[in-house]
Amino acid sequence: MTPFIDRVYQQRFGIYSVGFDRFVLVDNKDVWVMLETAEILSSKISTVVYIIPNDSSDLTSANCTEFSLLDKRSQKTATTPLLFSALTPSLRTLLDNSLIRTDNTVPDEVTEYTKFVYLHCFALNFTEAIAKYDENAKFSKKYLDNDWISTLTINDTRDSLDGGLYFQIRKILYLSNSIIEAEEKINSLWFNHSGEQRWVRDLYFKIINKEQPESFKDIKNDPTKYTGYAG
Amino acid sequence: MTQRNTLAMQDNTILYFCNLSYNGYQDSFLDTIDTTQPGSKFMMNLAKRFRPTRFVTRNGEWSLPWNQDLIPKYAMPKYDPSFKLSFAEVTDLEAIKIKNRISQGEQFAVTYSGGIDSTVIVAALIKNLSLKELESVYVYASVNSIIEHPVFWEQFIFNKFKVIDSNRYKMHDLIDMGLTPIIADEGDAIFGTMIGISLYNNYDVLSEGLSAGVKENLKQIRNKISSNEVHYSRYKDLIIKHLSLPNNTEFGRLLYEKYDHNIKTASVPVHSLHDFFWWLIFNVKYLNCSVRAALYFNDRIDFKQAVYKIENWYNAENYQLWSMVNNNNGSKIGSTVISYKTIARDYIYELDKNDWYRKYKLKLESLNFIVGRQNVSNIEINKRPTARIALTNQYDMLYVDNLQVQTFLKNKIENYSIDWTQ
Repeated sequence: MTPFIDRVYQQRFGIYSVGFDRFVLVDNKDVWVMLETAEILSSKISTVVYIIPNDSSDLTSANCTEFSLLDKRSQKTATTPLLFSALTPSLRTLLDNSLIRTDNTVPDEVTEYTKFVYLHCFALNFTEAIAKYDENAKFSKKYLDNDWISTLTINDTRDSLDGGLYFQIRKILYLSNSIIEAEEKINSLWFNHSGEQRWVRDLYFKIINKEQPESFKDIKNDPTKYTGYAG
Repeated sequence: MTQRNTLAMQDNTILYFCNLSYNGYQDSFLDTIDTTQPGSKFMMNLAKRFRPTRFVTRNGEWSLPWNQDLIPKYAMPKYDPSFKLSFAEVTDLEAIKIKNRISQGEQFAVTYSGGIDSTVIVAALIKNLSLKELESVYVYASVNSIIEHPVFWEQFIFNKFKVIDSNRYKMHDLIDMGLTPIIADEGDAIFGTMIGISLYNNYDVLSEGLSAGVKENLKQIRNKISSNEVHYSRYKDLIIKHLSLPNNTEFGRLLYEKYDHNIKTASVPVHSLHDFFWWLIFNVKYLNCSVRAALYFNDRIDFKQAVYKIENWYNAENYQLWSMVNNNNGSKIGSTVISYKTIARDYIYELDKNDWYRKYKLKLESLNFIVGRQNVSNIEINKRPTARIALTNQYDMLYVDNLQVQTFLKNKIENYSIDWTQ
């Protein structure tokens, strides 16, 4: 494609915590899922997502919490001496030889929650893209003039949740204080609101590689709820 | 909605249709039907293969387990090989009829999905009605209608028509508003069915596993799906495989032979592969499309009243006559799937000059996108659309939870014999 795009996708991506002055996550799979992860984490920590040059060959996802930025002067915000950080995380590039290896200052709860959110962001994105059949909420907002759709019903996921299932899961991840709390709330959401979209639930749990709770066997499906079921 | 409070099922009760459907709600009843006899097994397999199954012949033989009659509105016109009107002329004539009715004070709501059939209707009205007359036409649509054809929405519908949300309002709401709904449901019947399209899309995959000789033959005639040179029977093995259930080609064979028998006893010529699938929906599956709006997207208006109130645009006699004399001439389909409904695309193009839509628009199952999410949870569960299993010739709707109905259908199905093949 273009030199910029080709170069980006040859590199890795990392979530850098401004407060800890360390990376909390590094991976090469998907920069957009990583950015979304950083957005969700922003309720707890300020971060920046960096495109990391390949010269940092000893940087891995396992040891990323030992890595910091060598010269933060290039990362300051405008004319202030503050390290670049914004209310909502953005994507930035790093030059070669920008990193330095040092000690780990990132608490485990931060890295664990980061990885948990990252996994669920993959699940959300894949599920949204694969499982949707007649959902048009995201598409409409992206491509249709608001005046065109203001008087029409937007179809989100097949539940009665405000903003739909995916939004509610993101909200849980955004506002929960721990993995345990988030998991309990997410499971409760699935239990109470996935009766008419079992295929969505099944796919989601497959992606996060977890067995569905035993109680999910009691989830009721209403095959009569919509006209379309009659054909 | 008026309906007789006590409905006595008699053995000789005549049905307009029965809709056996594994739709999640009827399943528990359907699973009680004894399928040891070939006839009942066939009927249950039909319900598994197709959903829904409002299959009723309008021409030729097609036996059913129960006494069957045809809703008069949907009778097939007599085949007229001398019919000469073009698709555009037929379409314009239909629009003029609407124009005349508007002059009598009637108002209409066009069910618009963004697909080819409903876009033809809107295009025809724009072409033939004055701006003043168009004020009597509403567009009944959803966000999905916009997504399916956003350019047309922007140029011809937004701020030009009043729009009614099809996810929120149902057919009975339109009628209560004083509007006559116009539906495009028989559009596929005029041109040929999705069942055929899905075979064309999977031609090579379906050919795998057939004998070498058959495969070679199918390869030779691959691009002749709508040609007068090749009779549909040369695709028999492919059709059987396509109609079959997984690991059950016997059902596919029986169904093929039932259709074949119907074709041989009908008074309309059916020749090519596309003709075969066209006839399937133009004849046997026609009612399936026609009654949807009146009987499944309506919960309040008397069913007979709804059937006759709703304007089935493509049910017009001229369209059906046109359809019967325009097989294998490129009007319905060329040699590729993307050429499906060529003549209708051309009609739309006359108005909008949209090359992309004309050349590349793909057939989608649009109906479910515009009304599929209408919420019916406010209706008693045993009266919801999924529970509506049959309609008598007195327009009494039969519900699957009714024990008399269950007994009637079970008895009929279990005593049904296969009478069209050896």
